[in-house]
Amino acid sequence: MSFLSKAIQYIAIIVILHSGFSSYEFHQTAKQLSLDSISNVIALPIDIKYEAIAGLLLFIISVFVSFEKIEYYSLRRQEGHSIETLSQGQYLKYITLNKATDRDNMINSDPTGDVSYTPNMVHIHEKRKQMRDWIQKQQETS
Amino acid sequence: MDTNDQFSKQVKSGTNIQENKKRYETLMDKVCLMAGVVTGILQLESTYGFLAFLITYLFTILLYVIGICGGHPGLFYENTISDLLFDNFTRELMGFIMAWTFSFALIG
Repeated sequence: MSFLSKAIQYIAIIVILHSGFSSYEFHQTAKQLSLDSISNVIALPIDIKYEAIAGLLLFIISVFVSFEKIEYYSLRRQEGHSIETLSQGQYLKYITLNKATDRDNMINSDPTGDVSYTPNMVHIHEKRKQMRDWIQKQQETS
Repeated sequence: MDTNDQFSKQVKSGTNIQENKKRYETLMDKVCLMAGVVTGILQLESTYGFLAFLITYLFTILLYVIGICGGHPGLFYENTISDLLFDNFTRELMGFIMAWTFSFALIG
């Protein structure tokens, strides 16, 4: 949640609390007046209504402003490089799998990494070469 | 190529669907609770209170579709109408009524 949305939210809550207090005071006064006079049809003053509605609108705006575009850090950035964020420019995540995979590619996240990076699977060709060399050396010595 | 496109359109990412739904639910919870408080402050009764809920609910959905989904909710939700309009309706209405009656009783 950004500073702006927090600020708007605090203002909205203060405005709503203030209108609530005004409304409370008004109704207490109205109760007293209705005891004395015959007519007790007193409507809530329009400024209190506007204040409450303005508070709600401000609150809704603050909730929407709190949405930020989703950003990621690249998982395999090189050391020494500045940390830059990557983004698809959206507030929500795409649901189609091809777009979801785009995200994985962008941040270098490998969904099959638990298989690809299993120690036994890393540099398999290098290990085979070492094994071939070792066998060859054994045969030469024998 | 056509078959490939068709295939990629059909497959959806379940995790992303759930995350998007969760974000929408959180937003609606906040808005409907505050709308309930304001309705109580205004001392609205019966039909007017429910009308206030409907107006706030639909207005928020409209803002969400335009502002957050960029006018294309189909990219982020599987069944747009059901996910945005009906799935959370009872939940939000209950939250609204709770906040409404609470602030109504406090003020009145």
